[in-house]
Amino acid sequence: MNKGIFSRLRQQAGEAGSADIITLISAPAPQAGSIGQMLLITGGCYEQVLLDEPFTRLIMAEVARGEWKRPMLIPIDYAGGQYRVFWDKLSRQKSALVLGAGHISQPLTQMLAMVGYAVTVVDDRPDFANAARFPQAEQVVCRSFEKALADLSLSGYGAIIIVTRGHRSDMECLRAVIDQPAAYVGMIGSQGRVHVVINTLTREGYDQDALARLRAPIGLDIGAETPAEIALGIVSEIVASKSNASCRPMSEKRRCKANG
Amino acid sequence: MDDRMVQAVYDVQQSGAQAALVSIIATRGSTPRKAGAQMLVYRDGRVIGTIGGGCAEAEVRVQALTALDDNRCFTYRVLMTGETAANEGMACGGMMEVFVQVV
Repeated sequence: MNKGIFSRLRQQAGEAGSADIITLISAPAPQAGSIGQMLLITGGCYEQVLLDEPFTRLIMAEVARGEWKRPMLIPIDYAGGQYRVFWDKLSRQKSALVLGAGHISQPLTQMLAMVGYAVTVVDDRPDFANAARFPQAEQVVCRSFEKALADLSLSGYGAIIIVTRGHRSDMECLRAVIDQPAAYVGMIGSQGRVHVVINTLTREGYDQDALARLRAPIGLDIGAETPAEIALGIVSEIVASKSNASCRPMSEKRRCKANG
Repeated sequence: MDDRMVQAVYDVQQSGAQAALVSIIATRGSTPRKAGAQMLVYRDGRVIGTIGGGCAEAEVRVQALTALDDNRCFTYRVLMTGETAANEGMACGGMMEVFVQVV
C-alpha cells in the first residue's frame, strides 16, 4: 500500500525538500477499507486525493492554517461521518560532525550513533581517521581540517563537536564552524584554554552571540575522567540541548513536586 | 517521519515485501516517547526505530506481526496503567495510541 508515496518521499528527502504526510487513521465503516491510505503534500499542493476531492480539500484547509508544531491527530467531520487523520512531516535524521579522531572521538561516535545520529568524523591522521576505528560512523574523512571543512556541507549538521589533538586545530575548526546554524557547537578544553580561544576569536571580530552559544568547556558536569565518561557528558549535553532540558536529576524534580 | 525510515520502507517495498510501520499517534500521561515516534517491524520480527522499548513495544510488535498476517491497518492502545502493566512493572504509567500500518 502507498508504494508511490514512499518513492516520492525518498525523492523529496534526497532533494532536501519538505513534505506534509497525512495518513487516514479512522473512518466510518463504509470507508474502513481506506484506513492507512496516505496523502502527500509538497509545495502546498496535493499529489493525489485521499478518499475523494472534497475530503482532500478539507485536509488542505487544515494544513494551510499552518498550526503544525509536532506530529498530531486531526478529527474531521465529513458527510455525516467522523474521520481522524494523522499529520506528520518529513524530517531528516539527526547528524553530527566530530572534528578529531582521537581517544574521546571513539566512544563519542559510538554513543552518538546509539542515540540516533549519523556521524561524520574528520582528522588529518590516517592512523586515526579510518573506518576500522569508527565502525559506527556514517563517514570518516581523512583530510586536513581546512580542506574537509571547506567541502562538507556544514549547515546540515545538528551538532558539531570539536575534539582535535590540539589547541591550534581546535581553533582552526572553530573559526570554520562558529557561524553555522547547528543547534549544538561544542569545543573541548580546560577553562583557561577555552578563555584564550574565545578572546582570540573575539579580537578577530567573530560574532559575540555565536561565541556565547559555544559549549566550551564541553559536556555536562558529571565528574567525567575517562574518555568514555567525557563522551557521555558530551552526548548528555547534546541530547539535553535539543529539548532545553534542565539537566537536573529527575529525583530532584520529584522532590520539588512533593514540596509543592 | 525521518528520511532513514522513509528509506527503510522504500527498500522493503522495492524488494517486493511488506513491513508494518508503527507510529505513536497520541499519548496521555507519562510515556517515554511522544506522537510521531515510529518503528518498522519486518515479517521476520526484526525492528528498526523504537516507540520506547520494554513491554509496551514488545506488545505492539506482536500486533504489528498480526497486521502483516491479516494485511490490515488498525489503531491499538497500550495502557501502561493496567493490572498487567503494574504486575510487569511497566515504568511510566501512561497510555499511548499507536497506528499499525502495513506498507
